[in-house]
Amino acid sequence: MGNRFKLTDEELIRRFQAGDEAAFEEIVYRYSDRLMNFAYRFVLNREESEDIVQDTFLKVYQNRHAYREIAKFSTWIYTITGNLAKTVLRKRRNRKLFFFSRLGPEDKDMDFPSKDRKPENKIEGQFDERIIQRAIKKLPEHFRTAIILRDIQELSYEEISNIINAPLGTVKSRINRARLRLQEELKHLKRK
Amino acid sequence: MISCYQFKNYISDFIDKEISFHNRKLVEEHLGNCSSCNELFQSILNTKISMNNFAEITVSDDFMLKIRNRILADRNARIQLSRKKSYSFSKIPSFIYGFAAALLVVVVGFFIFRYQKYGVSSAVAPPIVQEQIQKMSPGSPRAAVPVDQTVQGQYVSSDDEKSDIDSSRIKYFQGQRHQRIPDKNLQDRIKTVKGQR
Repeated sequence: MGNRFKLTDEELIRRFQAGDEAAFEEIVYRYSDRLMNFAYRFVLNREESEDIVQDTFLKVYQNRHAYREIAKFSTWIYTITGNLAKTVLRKRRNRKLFFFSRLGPEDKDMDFPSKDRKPENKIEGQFDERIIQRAIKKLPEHFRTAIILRDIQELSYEEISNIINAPLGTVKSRINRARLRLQEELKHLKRK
Repeated sequence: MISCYQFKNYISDFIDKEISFHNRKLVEEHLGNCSSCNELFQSILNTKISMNNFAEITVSDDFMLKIRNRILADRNARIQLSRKKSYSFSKIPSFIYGFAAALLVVVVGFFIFRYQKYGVSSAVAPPIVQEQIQKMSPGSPRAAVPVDQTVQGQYVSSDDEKSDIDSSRIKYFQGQRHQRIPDKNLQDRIKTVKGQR
């Protein structure tokens, strides 16, 4: 298992496709937290995020032979998670439309992590995580995806372009507009 | 010097260091002269730093176990599904059973009917008739002629054999076979014999 740390994701999935179950475990180990963070920023609910990540790995397990090495493995797995997260959001939206009268405040289902960011990382003028998260939630879905992938997941423009299946220019423009829109939302929330 | 609108178009590229040297100089120049754009730039930068420092959400400790269980459950579900898909009597719709039963009844009925129609043809004449035949022509090989042949008139109809068959016996014979006598002449002859009696 030791030499597996030296293997790239693509080599791991190749081994898994050849029947090596341990390679799958290594993939889970490498990606579970990353995907959990990604899914969480979409749905803002820990249980739902974990379900999304579980579904992602189940899909990877079932459709391992569907992966072709034309794209990076990370792109493929992020795309699966993103699609699942969007499905959850869509379902939630439909549920809200159906039972809107029973719902409380808009942020009722937000589940913030109990542990705060490290104090040494705090910089003066930084916004509180909750406020930023609320502002992100208010963004349109395509802006939200772009900004989560770029500023939280810190993926490259190329990777984002592959994940959201859009040209590089569109990705750049979308990230720029998302950041500007986020500032507007933050101003609006701070005024409240 | 670029406008605030142009600056906003370049701001992300500038933050991500994906900007050309020339444009970077223009942005830096604008930042030095425009306080509102400078404020916006600082705000975006701080938000980006904040997002980088968001508390990390980790999966539960038993995450791998949950994954394994789900894979196992999924595998079992697939096996059960494939078993269901395979051939079984329970999958045959009930109307097929009804149809098969009806078909069986028709086939059996057809064979029974056919046997009743032709099955007797191979049988020999009733003992009384046999006895009469033997009386009429002792030693004749016709004694054991099947009823079919007798019906077609080989012994009843032959002119030289003056039958003294009892009319009641002919009635019996007719009762048994009258519907299957194809030859009208034979019936006439039987009537003639009856008349002679």
